[in-house]
Amino acid sequence: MKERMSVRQVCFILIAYNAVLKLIIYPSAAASSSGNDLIFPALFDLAMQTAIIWSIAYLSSRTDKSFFQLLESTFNKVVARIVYALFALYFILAAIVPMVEQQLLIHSAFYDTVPSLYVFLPFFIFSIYAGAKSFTNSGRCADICLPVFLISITAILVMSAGQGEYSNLLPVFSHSVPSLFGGALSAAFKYADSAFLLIFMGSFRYKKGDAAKITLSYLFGGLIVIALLAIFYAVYGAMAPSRTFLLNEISVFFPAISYVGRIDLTLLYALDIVILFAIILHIQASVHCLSLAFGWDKRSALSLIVNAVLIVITFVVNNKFSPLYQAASRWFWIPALIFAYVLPLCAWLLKRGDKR
Amino acid sequence: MKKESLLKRLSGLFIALLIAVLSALFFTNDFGLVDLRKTSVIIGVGVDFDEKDEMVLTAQLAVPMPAENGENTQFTVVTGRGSSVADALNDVNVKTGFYPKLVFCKLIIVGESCFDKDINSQLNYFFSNEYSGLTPKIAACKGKAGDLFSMQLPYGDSVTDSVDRLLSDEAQKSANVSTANLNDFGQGYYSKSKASYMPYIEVSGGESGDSSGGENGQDTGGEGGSKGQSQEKGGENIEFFCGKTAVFNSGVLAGILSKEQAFAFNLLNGEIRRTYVACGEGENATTISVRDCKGDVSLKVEKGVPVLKLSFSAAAKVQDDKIKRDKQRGEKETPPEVLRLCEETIKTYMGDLYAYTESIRCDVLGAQDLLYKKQNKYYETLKDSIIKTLTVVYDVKLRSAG
Repeated sequence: MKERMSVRQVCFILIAYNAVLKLIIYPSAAASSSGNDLIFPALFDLAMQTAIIWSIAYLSSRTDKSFFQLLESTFNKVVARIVYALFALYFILAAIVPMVEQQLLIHSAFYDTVPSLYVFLPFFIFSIYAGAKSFTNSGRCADICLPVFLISITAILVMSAGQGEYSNLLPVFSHSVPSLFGGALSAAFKYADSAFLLIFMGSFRYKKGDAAKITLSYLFGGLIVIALLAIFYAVYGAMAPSRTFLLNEISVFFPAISYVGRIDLTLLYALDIVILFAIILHIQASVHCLSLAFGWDKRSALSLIVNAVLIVITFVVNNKFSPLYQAASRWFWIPALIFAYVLPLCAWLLKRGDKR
Repeated sequence: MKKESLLKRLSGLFIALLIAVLSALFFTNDFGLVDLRKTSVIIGVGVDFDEKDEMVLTAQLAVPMPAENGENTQFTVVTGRGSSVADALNDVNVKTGFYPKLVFCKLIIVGESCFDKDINSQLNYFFSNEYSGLTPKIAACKGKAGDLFSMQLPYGDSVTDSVDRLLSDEAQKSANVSTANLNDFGQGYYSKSKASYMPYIEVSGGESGDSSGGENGQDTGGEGGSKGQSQEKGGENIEFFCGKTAVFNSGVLAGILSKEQAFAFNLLNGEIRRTYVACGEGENATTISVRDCKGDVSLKVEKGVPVLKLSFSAAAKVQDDKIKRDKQRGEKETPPEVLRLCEETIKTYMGDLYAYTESIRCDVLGAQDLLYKKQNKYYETLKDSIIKTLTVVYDVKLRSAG
């Protein structure tokens, strides 16, 4: 019998992985584009993406088929394979920014000089191994990551919430609506988690009420991000855009730190493990899509190929993160819109076949 | 028989590869880590400008030493010169051969020669440095910051540690010092008021010259003020005094608040836990202990006129006075006339504070920022005239602490 993820594991992925990848450089970028109104574009993106997540979760209640099978039954196998090949490419591209973000975060937090790029490369030894694993494995990792995430993020919230000057968030809507919409659009690539849920379809067994659980889980993760965005701006005010890494900087004013040292770095270390698995989920999703697109079950070989591509990209974008992030903000909302908004909605138009 | 997966077949190769990569990283650059013996950490930095307008950066370094002899840290002061902080730090590196690390820097002192320049721009390196963060405390000093750091204190104590103690959270919570870190300074600088502050350090004894008297014509006798490190060295008594506050307009020094003005500023601005107020004169001289303090600056616009309200409330108790003991013994309540006297004293300090900040055109109380944040609909119409048209209301309420 084919092993499946549980809905609990899907929910955990949508809480933890959804949140951590938005807590690296995105808060600083959001502060830069929307200033004290940074939470409004984030709320807009979150609301839109939550609606899409709900639509996919609800679609899962109407069919047992995967998205690949839906495409196959509506069109044919060739179309399904082409779409999945594009999805694989999308997941590879979507992994680049968080991968480099994580690299820079570690360099900033745990090194006092900028280490060589080669120090980061052992990441790929693990990612080749983990990338070859199925979604069932991703679910098990999420089971471990969620408590780690919740404990660490709660501690960070507690340490930082009291250090902010919340009047920094005033006046609300000081930026124009087009400017805020621009901020939401440029951050849309960060709110593209529904692409994963679409690929998960058929990999978990839906039970009554699960759509609400999945949607609320995503919303919960998103609201943690919103809360931290607000605290981040409250702590740093107009200087928030110059503070690159929220996780490394938000709790440094906690009084105990001046006596006992950077205890928050242990929390950052724990969260970094969650970030690691969140990035690897991109590779697992890409390998899964490639496997179906080419009808080739050699996941280890596919993981090697995907990681080889990412290693090459890592060398190409080394020391070019700023232009990379700018390019992603400017252009990557287009593929994000297609794979995380348009295609999930189009899934409703596909032949669902047998209903529950 | 089940076919072995590619990963399993390659696992031996993976392990060999892992060992090879990690070995290569270890033997080439110790995983990017730095040898302790070649390292020094900067714990404090002084910034001055010389006659040629070149930046002079004085770094107090803590040099980790092998612990066999019991002493595991030595302090040394190194001076670097350059066109910017980064350039001067590089000069420190050239002179010492150490890799100076700013991650443990906890104090930045700017000397008098920096006061006529935009300090925020001069210290841009620290504001944008990811390794040091915005937690270092910042202070201004009379004379040269370099001279301050060069002072030799007995018992091996470093100037950085001594001054850092005077600017501690505890000192701030007693309203005796206007402690500020880089984040506080930067937030003020980038606010609509463009005003920021930092404690002003004066040294008596030593080589940085002595100090006495207020900077704006007021005597600074009496209680309070963060003062300490009185230490005998060769017959010379070195004392640091941090009770005054330097205020800046767009990063340029606008003036120095006297001890009383700084005290009023701290009551309004800080989270004060407990402090003492000396009020009355001669036989009526009384020292009041004040706790459960709530200070606030708020702004309202009433009939088109901006009204700045400086409010302070606390529980007060007579701590010491010259009234005959037999009259007071057994009294649990603080007499109302003493409370009123203390209120008037605090109001006088606040009035002096506002009058002085108005005279130097420094909105360190944040009226313009409050107008922008909390009365935003009036901002465009009042932003240019607010300082001239502002009405100030003082609301000081003390209750008996019992």
